[in-house]
Amino acid sequence: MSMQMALPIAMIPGNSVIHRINPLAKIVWVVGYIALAFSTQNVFLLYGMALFAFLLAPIAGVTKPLLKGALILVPVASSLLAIQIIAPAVEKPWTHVADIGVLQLYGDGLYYGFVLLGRVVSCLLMALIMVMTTHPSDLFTSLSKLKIPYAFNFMLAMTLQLIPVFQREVGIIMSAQKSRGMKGRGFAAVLPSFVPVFVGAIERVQQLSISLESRGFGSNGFKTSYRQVKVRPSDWVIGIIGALLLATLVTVSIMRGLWSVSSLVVFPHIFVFWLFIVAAGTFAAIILATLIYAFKK
Amino acid sequence: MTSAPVASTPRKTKAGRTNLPMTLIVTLIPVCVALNIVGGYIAHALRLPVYLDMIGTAISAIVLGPWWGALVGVLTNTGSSLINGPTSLPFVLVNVVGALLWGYGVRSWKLGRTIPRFFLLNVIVAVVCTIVAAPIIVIVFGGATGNGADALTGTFLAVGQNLVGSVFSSNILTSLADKIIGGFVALAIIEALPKSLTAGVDIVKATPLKGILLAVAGVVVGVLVIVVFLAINH
Repeated sequence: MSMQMALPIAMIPGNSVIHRINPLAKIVWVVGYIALAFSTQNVFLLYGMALFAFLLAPIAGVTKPLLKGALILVPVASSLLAIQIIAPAVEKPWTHVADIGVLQLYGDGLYYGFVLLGRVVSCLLMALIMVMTTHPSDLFTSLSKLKIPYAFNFMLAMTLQLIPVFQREVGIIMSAQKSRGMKGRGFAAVLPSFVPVFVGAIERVQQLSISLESRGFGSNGFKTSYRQVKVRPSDWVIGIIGALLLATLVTVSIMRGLWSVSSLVVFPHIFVFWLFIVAAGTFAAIILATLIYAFKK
Repeated sequence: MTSAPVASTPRKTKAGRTNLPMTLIVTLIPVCVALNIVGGYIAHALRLPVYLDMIGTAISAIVLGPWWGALVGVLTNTGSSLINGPTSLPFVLVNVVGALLWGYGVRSWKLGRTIPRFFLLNVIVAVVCTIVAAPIIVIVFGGATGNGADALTGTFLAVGQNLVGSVFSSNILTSLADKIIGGFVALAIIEALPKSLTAGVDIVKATPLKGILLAVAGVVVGVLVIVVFLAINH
């Protein structure tokens, strides 16, 4: 895997309806999603949220990168389900389903496993849709309207600009090490490469610091932005609908004691057994592939 | 001979600590955050068995101060959530706790004066970070992290340990390796920084990483033996 490959997630340029929504309206939806996901244990609601977020992807034209981004969930999902089958995060007594060697499988934790997974999946998909359809500068301009400190926004924006620069420089330094017959992979190559990258960056930011000082950074007064973000009536509608809908669902869920429907969902023993085989097998395959990759190189 | 321009000369406070200009701090912090994010990404891309996502936190906490390090921790997890979704957001607490320990450890408790003391500080950071991270892993992710440590978690579960204990046992191993290596890489970087930045920091000179990697391997194996012994006799 090349060090110079782009980070997995970034803004995907476009002019879709989703791209044109004001970042603040999108933030309302993402925050609402996180609040709802962590205040409910209703699997239907959680996976409904995930489905809704996923259906936005084709509208925004980001289906492929979204699926690529969501791949990071495969190891977590497989190990989460496997662990919940062998050690349910619910009170005993547990219902014994089967034995595989020394492992005892239980069905009681599977519902909770799906709840945890649903939370992560729904929040991740909605957040990825926002990130992939929002220009970072528009996001920071919008955040400053929420009275987020200008310095905080500046640091976050500068970080996002520095990440690809650092990635490129680490790649260059490791290639230079390789061309001189030194190790180009593993700890022995990666750790020493951080020193020149960081020190080089420090020398550059000292000049940037002078530049900021000469432009009166930190002075009081109204800050302008090159990019203008307009709030249209449709953005208000989307934001208000999101806030009302999600706040209502949070309230209903809390009033119903997290709205768990575990009594309605029964997992057959054979399903639990095979799910464990698939989940544990997938996770073991990932670990094995990682080890083979590490030793091969 | 010309030299590169530098920011305004840092002033010394009465306590002998360097008081850097705010514009320099505001530009240094994103560099530390970017180092955290890129370090974490490289460790993931190269399938290294550690996270490497707190090196910038350690540098900022030691050079700028513990609370600036905490800000780097907050920005790291916020920035990561803008790149790959909010899964790293709950771990902001771990980054903040690590920053406070590294910062106060070196600047107030003088745990950076010798190599053994600094090694001990990194072990303390690793243990406390695990104490903070384990409940988050259990509550938010049901004990799963998606990396190789989950295989260890599963093994501890199989021998009868409970979920929290299993997550703690597997996390302490990766955390020890990660924080000790990260701490000593930060030490090497701090030594290479301009003296104007590190004038007020009382910290030992860096040591070759090869020796540290051997020490890390020893510590991890030792702790592995202990946790396996405790799990079997549970």
